[in-house]
Amino acid sequence: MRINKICKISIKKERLIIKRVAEGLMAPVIELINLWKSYNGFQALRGLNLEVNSGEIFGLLGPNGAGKTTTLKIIVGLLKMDKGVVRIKGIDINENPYEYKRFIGYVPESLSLPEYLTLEEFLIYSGKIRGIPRDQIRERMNYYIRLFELEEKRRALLLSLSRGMRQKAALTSALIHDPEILILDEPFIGIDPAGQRVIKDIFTERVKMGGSVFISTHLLDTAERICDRVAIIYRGQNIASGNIESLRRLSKSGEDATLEEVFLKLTEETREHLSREGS
Amino acid sequence: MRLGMILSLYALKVKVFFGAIRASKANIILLAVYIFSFLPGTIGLSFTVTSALSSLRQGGADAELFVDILSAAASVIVVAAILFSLRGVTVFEYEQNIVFTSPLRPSEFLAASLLVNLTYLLIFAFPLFMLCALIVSLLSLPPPQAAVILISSILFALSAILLKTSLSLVKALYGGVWINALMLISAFILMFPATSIFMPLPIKYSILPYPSSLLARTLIYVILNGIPLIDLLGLVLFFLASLAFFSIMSKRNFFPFTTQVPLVSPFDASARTQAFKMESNIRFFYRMRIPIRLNLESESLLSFLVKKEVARLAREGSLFTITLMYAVISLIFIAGGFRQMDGAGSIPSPLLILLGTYSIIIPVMLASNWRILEAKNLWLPISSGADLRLIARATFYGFVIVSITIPLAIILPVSIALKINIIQALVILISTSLIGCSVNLYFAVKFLRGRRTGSPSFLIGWLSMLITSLLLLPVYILAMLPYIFSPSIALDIAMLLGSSAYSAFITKIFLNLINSNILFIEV
Repeated sequence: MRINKICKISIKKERLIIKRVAEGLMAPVIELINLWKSYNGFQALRGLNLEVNSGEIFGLLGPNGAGKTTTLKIIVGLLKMDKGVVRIKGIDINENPYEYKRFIGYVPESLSLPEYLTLEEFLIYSGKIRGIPRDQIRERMNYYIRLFELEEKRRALLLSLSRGMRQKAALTSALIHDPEILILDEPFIGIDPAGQRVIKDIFTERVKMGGSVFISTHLLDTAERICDRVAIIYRGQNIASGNIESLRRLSKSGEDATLEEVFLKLTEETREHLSREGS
Repeated sequence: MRLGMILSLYALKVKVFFGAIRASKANIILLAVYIFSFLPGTIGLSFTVTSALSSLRQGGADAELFVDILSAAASVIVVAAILFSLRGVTVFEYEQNIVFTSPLRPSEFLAASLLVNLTYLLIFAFPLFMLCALIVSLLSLPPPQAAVILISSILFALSAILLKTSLSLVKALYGGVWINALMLISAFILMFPATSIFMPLPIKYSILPYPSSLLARTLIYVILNGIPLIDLLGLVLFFLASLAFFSIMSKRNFFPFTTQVPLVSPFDASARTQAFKMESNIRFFYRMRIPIRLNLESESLLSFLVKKEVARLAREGSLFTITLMYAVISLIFIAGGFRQMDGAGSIPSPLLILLGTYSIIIPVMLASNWRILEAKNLWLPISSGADLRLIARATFYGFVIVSITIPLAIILPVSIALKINIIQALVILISTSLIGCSVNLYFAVKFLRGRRTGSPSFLIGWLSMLITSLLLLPVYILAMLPYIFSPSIALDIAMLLGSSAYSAFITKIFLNLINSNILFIEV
């Protein structure tokens, strides 16, 4: 039953991707080429390469310390890379570190918000610093506050919101300028099932309109259900990427293997390979 | 009691308290700056105290008055111990979660806590020890007398710590209104004789058998070459009584009756725990409905960001603290404590000295709170593509607005009422605000850029304050001009223009430094 369901989902996704390619929607919007980053002697990224296309939900998977958050932080400009190239919609972020940011909306994993502001003040602040006209800020703020059922908390301090509500507030802040690319680090942590459904619907809607969603997550079930393609990174390197079918083939897993089984097999193989090489 | 367990817990507690010091070599340097910055003041004070004590030795001063003053100061320590114990036994989150769930016994926990308290005392009372050593050396006291001074001081400090711990246990285990009342009455009784210093009262510390009087008499009579055997014996008895009280109380299982408090350490660099401390401030001050609200109507982004900064300062409590601080300064001054000195013409107004001293602390507090509460939120403007230089400028303007307008609103009427030269107050306020805010913000940004998140705000603030003070020297010299030359309007204007130009120059340098550093911050 479960196998059939997964197969059906995979086939459906493959078809959708083929359709989008045919429509010319799937051009790379995020390109990471030979990305290196170290801090305090720890090599977080070792020549990472990957591409995220327009019109897809892309999942970045990996064990703890693999470099997922570092990758996302480099893309959004919170960390400087040591070496490599990052292009967002063709813009090299080293050459033009500001222009590309109007295309992206970001939600970090460790959610730190200006807790002394109310929800409404925070969203106004998010819109203002992005230079959005006030009418648009008002319109989008009202729309997402209604969508996330946060109307009662509009004038409440962020401090008084639950983890899930804060996550929704951060997501609204990332959507306030209607960005083409959403970059989200563990977006479902702390969110109730109804809220998760709303977020997934938002992703689907944006992807249908040619946008892209790039998420980092530990929730392999969720990644399997919603991502068109995934990349598995291990010790700062991309060890496999593609849709679930291609990953199954790559890992020589059975046709009914789940993403979790594929993930564990690939990471274990890489770990053994690296320990044999003494790296 | 298992010594190994006690020492392990002691090591853990010390590591948690001083944890950030170990984070980088820069912290060791900052600690050295902190310690050595006390040297000039301590040396100066030791000469003043020695001169007063020499006069006492030569019969030129009243020994009883010295005993009364010293007893009052020592009583403050005992009273503080009593008042702190009103909170019951307070422990940190990690102690409740990790230590209390281990097979450690309450008495072992208390023994380790006692050792930790002594360690804190040795480190934080370091300038006081240095002062005592300098005084003993300047008075050329023989080693036996110096030893009596040392032993009696340690006995008194130990007794105060034991008393505080035992009373906290009493409060935690049997707490009730009558316990509170008893402690408050004891505190009142201990402090009441202090009033004899200001007005003629028959009850004086010098004739009472208080522990603080025993210490004071011991110290003063040793300095006068006497042998205060009875007082020393009294101190030993006080210590033994405190120890017995502690031994009895420490056998009780108080673990279920403790109160959890956030970790308080000047070396604590954890933004999480410090921000946690600010949460209650934000809840409280937001409820006060200070009429600063962010809306969509702001004309420019800069004015919006400045308004946001001021809203933050209002809601995290900085506005209130500054207002309270200057209100207290004004009240002290109005109450007449210093007023008699005013109008002498040859010395600076005490109000100006207070203003110069306290206004340096304000930028330290503002920058420290920004670092704790706001720096971690920089992910939003950075990922949004906002110009971080504009954010820094708005932060600086917010600091300057708050650190100038509040003191002015409080000090201005006082200065006018007391006919104090307001130009001098303005010179000091404006210069301290501009230079202090830019220097403090620069160091906050500089340490963020270096990813030195382990550097405690306390030490960064100390370094910033030191640099601010050095940079303010020319301003202080300018402010002293009316005491050197005859005061005139022309001199006032020259002073104001000179200090403003100098402050603007220094501020511009530091704002440029902030701009060149803030773009490289990694979050």
